[in-house]
Amino acid sequence: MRLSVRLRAGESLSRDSQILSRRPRILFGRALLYGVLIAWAAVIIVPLVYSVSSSFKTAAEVFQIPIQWLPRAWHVENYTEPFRSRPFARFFLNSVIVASASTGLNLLVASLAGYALAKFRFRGRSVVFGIVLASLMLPIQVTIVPLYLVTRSLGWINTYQGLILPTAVTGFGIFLMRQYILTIPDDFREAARIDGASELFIFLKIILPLAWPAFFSLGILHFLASWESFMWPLVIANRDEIRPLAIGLVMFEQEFYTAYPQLFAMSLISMLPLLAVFVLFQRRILEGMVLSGLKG
Amino acid sequence: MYDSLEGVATLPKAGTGAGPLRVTREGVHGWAFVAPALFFLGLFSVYPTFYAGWLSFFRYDLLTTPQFVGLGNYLALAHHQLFFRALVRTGYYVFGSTVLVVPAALAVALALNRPISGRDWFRAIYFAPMMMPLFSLALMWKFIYQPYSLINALLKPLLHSPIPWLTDVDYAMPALILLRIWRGTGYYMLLFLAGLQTIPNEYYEVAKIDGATPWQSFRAVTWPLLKPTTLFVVAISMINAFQGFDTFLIMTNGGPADATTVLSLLIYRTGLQYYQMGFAAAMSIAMLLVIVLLTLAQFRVLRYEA
Repeated sequence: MRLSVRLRAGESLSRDSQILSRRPRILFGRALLYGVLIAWAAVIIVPLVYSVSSSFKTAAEVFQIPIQWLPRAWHVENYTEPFRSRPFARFFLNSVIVASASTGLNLLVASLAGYALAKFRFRGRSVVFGIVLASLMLPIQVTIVPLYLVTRSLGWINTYQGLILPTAVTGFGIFLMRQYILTIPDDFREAARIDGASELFIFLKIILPLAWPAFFSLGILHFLASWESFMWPLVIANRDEIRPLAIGLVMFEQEFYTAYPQLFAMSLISMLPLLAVFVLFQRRILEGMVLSGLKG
Repeated sequence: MYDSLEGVATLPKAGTGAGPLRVTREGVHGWAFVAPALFFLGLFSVYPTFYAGWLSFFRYDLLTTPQFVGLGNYLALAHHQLFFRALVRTGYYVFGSTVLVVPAALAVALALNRPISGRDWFRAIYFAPMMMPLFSLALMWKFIYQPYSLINALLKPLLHSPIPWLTDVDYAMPALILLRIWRGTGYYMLLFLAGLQTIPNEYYEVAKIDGATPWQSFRAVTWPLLKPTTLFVVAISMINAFQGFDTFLIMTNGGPADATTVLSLLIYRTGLQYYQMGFAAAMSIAMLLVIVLLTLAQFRVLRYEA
């Protein structure tokens, strides 16, 4: 506090002494900067560390007053027991199936459509693009009731196709691919055409390799979104054989309220695939997330 | 915003073979490539939207045939207390979280927008919660907010009695807002960082030569040039918050005493738990209306600024 007061006084002095006072000011600024940065990092990390620690406790320790920072013994079985008492392996597998299929489908459909909307001139293109933009801002909450009725009339309740198909293709995916492919020069395409290459060949061999950054980002972003999607599976999956991790975990909490250490353990396990992806592709993901800002 | 990009899409007329035959070829291929997307968007986005509009004029409970009620559902909505309270709660969440998360994200982005050691580490840590599925975070924080759990233990020196975060009418919504800030700051920070990188460094150097203090150069350079980004972040934060559902269902299920019953939760409950499909559809249309207004406002503001 006193330091800052002194610096304030320094401001009103002549320019020469201002330069002299810069050193402590810079030091003070640095300290303040790191203080704030470390404080916010602590805010992020402490709840996570507490969750990891709690996942190894006994139920009694978790509820103990005052709060218990570390478990007395490390109960690793919290990570295995839920796989016996509930079909967590199945939930996990279901999440992998649904997220992978949804991502694959979206990548295929969105890159094809994005290419056409970026590079082809055809009648009705602006109408199609209008539909894409409209669906970009349409959240599932608006259509959830009719979407349920449509899926129901297709006989897709409690099926993988019911979980995957209605939410797989996104306006965001098409928009992202279009915007990226727009930046690819036409020369390659024209040259391939003159050589007599088919449109599909041009798409697979020229456009996709050049649009790889957007393709890859969309894949990761969509996998994340699909992995954590909650509202649609909640509506559509009410049998254990089909439930993804999101629903299985929430049901587990409702059934075994006091099994909190196991719940912590399973919550952490549900994060692992995404965190692994994050560690591997951090730069690409951070870039992709900025692109996803376009989503709004 | 899109108009300028549209210009890029229109190819310059190719010198060779731009006859009618080629246009047809392009047209056929264009439609073929777009067809799968149109099928999916049509069946699962466009059709359900119109279906919702149609349904909102009917009473339908899945068991009996839909019964036409005209504007009945909308009139009922106008007298439905819970609906208005849900609108107010949603507004509380949307504005309450945006007002806090945007300045926090800006502050963090400003701090990280300079060559300091450990920059990448800080950025990764701040962003990490976005890579954690919201449903698992909601379950973990549900426990962390228990009266004798982590949050109150950390706040203990400041409190004389533990706060019943999720079970108190006044604290439940702030608790959910805090979780959103905890998770979302890193994401909006990234958007701000991207915006900050577009500001040329020369401006800061000139300001420095003129003897500007950090605060002065923020006011004169950063803030005005960052304004489009800021408006963009505000709009995205509001739209995202407006759609919040997972934490509400998992952590409070709308309680206590409907203090956290937001619009999306009310739609889910009305349509898919009580099976009042028509009534829920009317709520969906009302929600759509708000989103359209928000989006139009966003475009208008961005067009003015950009």
